[in-house]
Amino acid sequence: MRKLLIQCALLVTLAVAAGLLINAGHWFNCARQACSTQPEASEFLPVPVEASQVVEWYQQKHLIVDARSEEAYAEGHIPTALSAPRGDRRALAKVVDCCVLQEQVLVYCSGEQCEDSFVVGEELFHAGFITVLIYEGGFAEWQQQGLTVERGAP
Amino acid sequence: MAATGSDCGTGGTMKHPLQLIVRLIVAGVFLFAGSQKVFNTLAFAEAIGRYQLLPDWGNLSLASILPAIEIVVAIALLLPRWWRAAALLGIALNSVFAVVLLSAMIRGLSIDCGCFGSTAGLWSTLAAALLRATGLLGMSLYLFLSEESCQE
Repeated sequence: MRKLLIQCALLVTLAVAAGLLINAGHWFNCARQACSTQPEASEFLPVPVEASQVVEWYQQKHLIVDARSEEAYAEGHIPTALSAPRGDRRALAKVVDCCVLQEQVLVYCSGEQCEDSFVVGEELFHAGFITVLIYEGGFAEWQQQGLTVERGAP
Repeated sequence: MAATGSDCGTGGTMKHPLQLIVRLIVAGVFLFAGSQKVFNTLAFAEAIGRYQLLPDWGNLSLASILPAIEIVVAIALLLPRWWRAAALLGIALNSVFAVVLLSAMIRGLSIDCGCFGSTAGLWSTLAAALLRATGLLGMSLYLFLSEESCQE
């Protein structure tokens, strides 16, 4: 057992030395300027998009998330959108599980007055999505422009 | 799970195909996980940061060291005189991974596990990562205990 523990210590020492050597540059940079590795709300910088960009987005089969309630979603939503109502952790986890690999997501809610798209977008950002686009005009503007609407429960 | 006395009497690991297969599986997973992260330290440090357990310097330290440990353990698992020590380190690593993943699930975090560097879809969810860590923990325990019974 003693020999085994000595071997473990040697392996760990070798790994630590190699790891620190490989990353010496990072440590040097972080000593000169602060490196933050914590997720902070201020880091979340969503990109606002227009209806025409949303059309292109769904035609290219990129991920769209509807942050409104399930009922509102069932009555009508942007084609291909997934439902993840604000506060519904299970629905949010489903979106993350299925699609986090895509790294980009477009979120919308009812219109310019609602904040749900921003809140859900921020949660998706912290869950691993790198780029979050917000359609601020929301479903109200989408309908006003007479664009295609899909119906049905999530 | 331990090898039988008669198996041990006939010799080394090469006569235990299951043991060899398990070593290769555990080594393969560790090697893949480590190689995906070893040169992407800052991205991995951010992934560790999403667990909200350590300060910045802790995240960066762990991100610098952990991939190298995974690679060293993987290589040691393939070496005749070193693989049992590597199995012991595998037990320690996977136990820690399982506890951290479980704590993230209990706290309701919906994050990518960061196990393989950049996001890897379903393989990177907390539930999948916990399942994987538990499986690897079982395999590491098997390796450690089976060899011990052969020596005694």
